[in-house]
Amino acid sequence: MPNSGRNINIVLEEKIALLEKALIRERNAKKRLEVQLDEKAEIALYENKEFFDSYEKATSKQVQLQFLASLTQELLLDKNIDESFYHFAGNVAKLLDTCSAVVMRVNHDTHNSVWSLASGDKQWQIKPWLQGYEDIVNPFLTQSELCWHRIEYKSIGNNAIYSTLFRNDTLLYLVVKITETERRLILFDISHFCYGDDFKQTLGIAAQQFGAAIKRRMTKVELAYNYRDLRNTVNELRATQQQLIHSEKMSSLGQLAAGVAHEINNPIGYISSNLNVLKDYLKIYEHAFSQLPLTIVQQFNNTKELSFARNDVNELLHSCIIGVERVTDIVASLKTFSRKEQDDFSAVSINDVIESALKIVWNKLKYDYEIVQELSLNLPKIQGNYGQLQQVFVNLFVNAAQAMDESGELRIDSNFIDNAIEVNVHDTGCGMNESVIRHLFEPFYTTKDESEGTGLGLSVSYAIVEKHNALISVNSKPNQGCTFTLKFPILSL
Amino acid sequence: MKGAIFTGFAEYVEKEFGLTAWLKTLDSCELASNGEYLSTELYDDAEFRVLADTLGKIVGVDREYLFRGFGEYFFPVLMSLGLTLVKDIDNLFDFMRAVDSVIHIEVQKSDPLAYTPTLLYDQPQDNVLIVRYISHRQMCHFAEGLILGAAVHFKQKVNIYQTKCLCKGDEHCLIRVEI
Repeated sequence: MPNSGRNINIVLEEKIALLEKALIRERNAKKRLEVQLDEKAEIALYENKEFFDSYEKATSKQVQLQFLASLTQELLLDKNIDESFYHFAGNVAKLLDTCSAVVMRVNHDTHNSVWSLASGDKQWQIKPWLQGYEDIVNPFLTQSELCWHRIEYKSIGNNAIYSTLFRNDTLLYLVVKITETERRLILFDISHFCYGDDFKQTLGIAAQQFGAAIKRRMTKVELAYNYRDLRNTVNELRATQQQLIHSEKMSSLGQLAAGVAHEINNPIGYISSNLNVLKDYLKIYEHAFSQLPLTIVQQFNNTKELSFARNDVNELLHSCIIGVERVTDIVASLKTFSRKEQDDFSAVSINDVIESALKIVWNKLKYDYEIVQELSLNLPKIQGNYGQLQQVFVNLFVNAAQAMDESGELRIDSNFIDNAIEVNVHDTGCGMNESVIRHLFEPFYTTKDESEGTGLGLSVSYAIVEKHNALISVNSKPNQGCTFTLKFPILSL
Repeated sequence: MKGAIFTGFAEYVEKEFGLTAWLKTLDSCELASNGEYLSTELYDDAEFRVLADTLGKIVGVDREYLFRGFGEYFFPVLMSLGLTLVKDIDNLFDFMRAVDSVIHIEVQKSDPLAYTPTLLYDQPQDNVLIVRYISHRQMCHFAEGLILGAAVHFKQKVNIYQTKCLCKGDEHCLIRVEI
């Protein structure tokens, strides 16, 4: 070793310094080499980076797509609104590290509700709505819908109320509009919201999809309601149309009746007058005849016939007068039926009218029929003609009695419904078929014997009811009794 | 774990505790690599923990302190490398958001399929950034040190604390950074 002698002369400190310098040189050389290696590795990496990035992206997208596909599949099932919320919130809770979730229904018109899902549970629980919840959720409801919002516990306030539902520091929530008055909040009790951009984007898409599904569901519900309303409107229109046709028919009959009444009225007037004059003249003749001496009377050729005629003429005249009076009554009824002008109306208690009508027919009904009165107290008065209304009810009660043969029940009730007074007159009589009901209010239509009725009672009643701006309808089937319903508006006429 | 962390740690120990402390540490450990680290290679994670614990015993400090100090030291080193993803950044939060990508690329250079930690972010307020650190390496305090180093670099006052920590048995670390 030729150099070993020289080295011995180098002092230890100098030796250390030299070694340190050598170390630094070696270290620098190593660093330069590492930099070169790093550059080569970087070039190699970027040659394949696109592949690795695509692979990572594809893996991430696959997970997102799986989640969204499963969500969409479930949303397409025909679940109700509550079930849809449970399912969506439950799935998102699983994604968020199986956190607990809360769904709140906030409705301005009805009561609010809370459902909660504990961490790891599958069953949602209903919780009572506590007074302070409004303070927590109201600020949330002003936030944009169908966007995720995350808020930290410190900025929420009302710790005691908050802790009845949530344990963690952070809330992630979504506002979903159900109707104009109802919103639902989905809240997740999370310890953090540190997730990748892809994950947050997936949550955003899921929220939009869910919102669209709820909107579709609500549109369906709205359509169903609209369809129901339309059906009701169509039914109402049909009923109104029938009512109009009926009114038109009754109006035509009224005009006809008025014409007939007018034509009959004058001849009946002078027939009635002449008959009364004739009656007086007969009295004069009879008086003069009775003063004739019997010998003169016995000289007449037809003594027997004369005697019979003297006895019969009064009876004939009397029956003529009765017949003319009946025709006069019929003409008067026809006038009532056809008259369009307003009668004198005043405030009338419908219950009083019913009770007074019952008194009139009481003797006819009291022995054979059971009469039930269910008249509501404190009904408002209507504007009407007491006498005419009394005529209507007397007519209905008499008809009911005639329909029930020897026994049965006559029930009368009055109620205040939808700003109108509704009166039902129900009997347990023989009832009517459709054909009879169709002609029921027409003048001269009757199912009774000729001697029992003229067929003007119900048509006159109809006319009176119409003049009161009221409605009369009948509900009946053969052998199942009959109910007449009258609806009087309480608005002043 | 990337060799650059080992070589950086060696430099930090040498600067903070002296060369002999590092050499003594290497000498006291039985390492598969024998302490011969190249910054471009990957090494077993366990070696780093062994080195840190051994050094901790030698110099009398705990692992948490060492990692945080190393992170603070390493930040300027990272910036000096002129890495594309961080060289133009001028604030702390942007740097923190870029760190995940930096780690990703630096590790992939050595092995494209190697395990990398995951850093996920949430910014609940303008002045708050929460980082979720998921890694079996439990280097959250190193991350804290890096953030502290970055705050000094960008001249921003910062308050850092962990609300959850892997080292305490939680499933991830949540590092809350308030500026």
